[in-house]
Order: sequence, then structure tokens, then C-alpha cells
Amino acid sequence: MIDMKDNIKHFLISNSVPIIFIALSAFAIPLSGFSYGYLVQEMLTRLARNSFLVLSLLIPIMAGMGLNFGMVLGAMAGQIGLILVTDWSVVGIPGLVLAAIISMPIAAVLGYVCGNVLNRAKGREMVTSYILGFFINGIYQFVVLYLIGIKGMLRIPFTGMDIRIPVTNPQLVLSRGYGIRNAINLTGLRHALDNAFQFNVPFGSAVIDIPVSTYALIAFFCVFIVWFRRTKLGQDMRAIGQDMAVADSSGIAVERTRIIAIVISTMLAAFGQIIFLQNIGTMNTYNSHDQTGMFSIAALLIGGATVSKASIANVFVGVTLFHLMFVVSPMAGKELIGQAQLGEYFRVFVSYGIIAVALVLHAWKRYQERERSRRGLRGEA
Amino acid sequence: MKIGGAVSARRFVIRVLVVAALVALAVSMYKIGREFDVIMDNESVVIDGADYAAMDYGTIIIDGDERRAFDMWADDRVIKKMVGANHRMTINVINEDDDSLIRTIERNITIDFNTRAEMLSISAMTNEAENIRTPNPLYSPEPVIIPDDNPPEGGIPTL
Repeated sequence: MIDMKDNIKHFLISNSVPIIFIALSAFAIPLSGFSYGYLVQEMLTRLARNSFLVLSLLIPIMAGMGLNFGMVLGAMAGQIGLILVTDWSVVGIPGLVLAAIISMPIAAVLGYVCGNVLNRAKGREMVTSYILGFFINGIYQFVVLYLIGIKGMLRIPFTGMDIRIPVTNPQLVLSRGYGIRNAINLTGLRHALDNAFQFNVPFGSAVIDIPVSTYALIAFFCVFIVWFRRTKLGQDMRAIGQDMAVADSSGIAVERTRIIAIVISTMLAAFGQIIFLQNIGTMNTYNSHDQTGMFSIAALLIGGATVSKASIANVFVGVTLFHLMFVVSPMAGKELIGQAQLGEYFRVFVSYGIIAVALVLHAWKRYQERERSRRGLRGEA
Repeated sequence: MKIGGAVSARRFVIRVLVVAALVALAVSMYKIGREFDVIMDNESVVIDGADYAAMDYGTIIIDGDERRAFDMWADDRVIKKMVGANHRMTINVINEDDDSLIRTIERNITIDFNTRAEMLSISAMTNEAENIRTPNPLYSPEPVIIPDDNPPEGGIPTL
């Protein structure tokens, strides 16, 4: 009986964040007035759109590098791939595959840079990757705003040649001749993956569209993560995640493995951003990647993950709960308070407030464990 | 030493093969997925010195997709998006008065990868001409030159 009570207490404490979100959602859903068919369709669409991005966060957590805010670098690489593919008018699944292949070397280079920087900031990876994201965002904006186009802004002296990445589609380029437009219509790629294989399932009076092909890809990625954990490289990452010093003494190349973890995460984030944007159908060249890291990390933490431990279940629970709040909060706020915008503020306050509490609790728990083990070594009661 | 050298040589070969496979996949995706704007022009036209009269009325089927078959009358122009370079066009020339089929022409076309848009003459196809391409008035093969109307102060910067 005491064991069961302890187990329940432990379960409630370990999963306090998703439990709070479930309670809030249970309160907000009836208030919002949305039908269950609509909510199910929205959740299926958002799960298909966002899961890949959130899954890409699992590998750095496994390697003890915390939450990879640097995934925004991968998102930028994916967007560059999409810009080029749109210019070349490659459509459908071949367009998505080509965009992914183009983004791979860019994501690999950015991930390598990120990994090296994070190796110099051990213990402060999250804030370092967050700021690095801003820095690379500046370089991305410079490249996309000044170095891509029909003609170049910079010229090589004595040769008269422009420095530019050639993009010749006038629908993509600003009227001045260089720089990509703010919004790009991904007409040829829109829903290319979602519509490749789709089921329509009746749900009450509505019909639910299930993008089976996207879910198949996500399932394949989940199987990849499970398999990867069992490989030598995956085991090395887990060892590093548990204790870097012990892993180093065991002969594991700690710094090299950490870089590999970030490179893999960045490349997967590039693929995730391509899947995200093909579902949306429009790319905001300078904004689409901004909130990628924040939203993905928020979703993962809401799913019950911590800075040092995350599972595939945390991803799906987190994406569902986080986006459920996105959908129902404005209408619930409008019913409750009279203004949809206040409902949106409430969602932002609760979502990020709970994440902040979860991070603080995690840091406090780790401090308590360290103190306990120190006391144990000193032989104190 | 020898074993280590053999392992790293094998690793290098595998990596080169993987990169080559990715490049080959990228090229094949480009060829398979490239979309073209194809203008079907049903005007009377002169190609290589020969006159071809416009088809009065007919239906056109691309790649056997009868759901997307479309009608064309004389002097019509239709823009269709086609994915990939190789396509089969089936032109059914129809008597407008009684909707009877006069004849069917089948033609394999290959779109030039160097263009974004091609203009094909239906008139030339129905008369079984060898060359069915006409100059595309909407597309210039030369890149669009944007004049330096408002160069930045001090001219265009150099490195």
C-alpha cells in the first residue's frame, strides 16, 4: 500500500507538466466550442507537421547536451534547399527529396560548427546554442537577402563577376535583382508528402484525413532512433550523457561524439523543417525558422521530457498537448473573458511558464541529488 | 597498422560511394521532378518554311490521363504544367458539327531541360511535322537583366 502510494506520488511528480496540460485542455476544450472531429483533424495534421522536428531533439539529449536550440540551423539549411528547389521548379516528392539532399551538406557544416562551439561551452550548451542560432540567423539573412538573386550586390574586382548564388525565377527574387522575397509560395511542394498516401476516415459527421505517408516517415524515424540507441555510437552517446569523465576514461572520443550528435540533430532538423513547410505550403523566408527551436523544445518539455532525459512518447504527448493549447486557447479565452487575444496571452503565459518551472525543478532536483551524494560520501545522515 | 589502414581505406570507399549515391539520387530527382510550363498553341503557323493550318476542334490527352483531357479550338492557346521531360500526347481531331472522331495522332515529346517553358504547335502535330516547336513569346532564353537604375551610393561594392 505504501509502495503504491509512493509509486503514484512519484508518477505524479515525474509527469506533473503533462498532467497540468491535460487538466487545462480538459477545461478549455468544452469552452472553445470546437467539435471533436475538428480537434482530431487538427491534432493529426499538427502531429504530422511537427513530430519530425521534435524527434530531432532526442539525440543531443541522449548525448547529454541538453535541449538543442541550435536546431534552427538545420531549419535554415532546409529552407535554402527549398528555395533552390522552387527556383528549379522541381515539384512533388522528387522536389522534397532533392531539397533534403541539398540541405544535408549545409546542415552538416552548420552542425559541425555548432558542435565545435558547444564543445567549448560544456555545461552551458543550451544557452550557447540559443545565441549561436541568432548568430547564424544573421549570416543566413545576409546570404538570402544579398547574395542570392539574378544579379549580385557584390562584385569581384578586376573581373566584373558578381558574387551570387544564381536564382533566376523572377517570382522568387525581389525587384532590385537580388534577395529572396519575404514569402515564397511552395505550390509544387504543398502537401506533396501528405497526399502521397492518404486515408479518409469517417468520424461522426466529419471525415478525417490521415496523411499516412508522413506518419510512415515519422514511424521510420522512430525505429531509427530505437535502433541508433543500440549501436556503438548510440551507446557512446548515452555513456557521455551519463558522465563525460567516465566516458573519456573508457576510451570514448567524447568531443568527436558530441559533434556527431549535433550534426545528426541538425540534419534531421533540416528534414523536419522541409516536412513542416510542405504541410504549410508557404515559406516565410526570414521568419519560418525563428520559432522552430522554441516551439519544438516547448512541446518536448510539455510531453514530460527533461533536459537530460527524453523519450519518443514525450514527443508525441508533448506535440499533441502543446498544439491542443494552440488551437483551443483563443476560443476558450473568448468564451471566458470575452477576448480571443487574452486567451492567446493566457496560452503563452501558461505554456512557457510551465516550461520555466519544469526547467527550474529539473535544476533543483539535480542539485538535491548532488548534495545527497556528497553527504553520503561524507558519511552524514 | 595494416589493419587500421585497411579499415580506414574501406571507410573512405564507403563514404565516397554514399556521397556518389546521394549525388546520383539528387540528379535523378531533378530529372524526374522538374516541372515545365508547356504552351499548346493551336494557331496556323509556319515552321521551317512549311505552312500548318490550325486544327478546328479536338481533345488533347497527356500521358493517357483521360480525366485531365482538354478541348482546343482553332486559335486557342493553353498552358499546361508537365512534370518530367518525356511525355506522350494524344490528339483526337473531332468534327465540331457531329462530334465524330476524324483521326487520332499520338506523339512522344521531349522537353528541353534548358528552358522553363516551351511552346508546342498543335497545328504542326496534327499535320505530323517533324519540328513542332515555335518561339515562346513569354520566355526569353537569356537571363533577365535588371538595369542599374538605382545603384547604391559609391557604386556597387567590391571585396
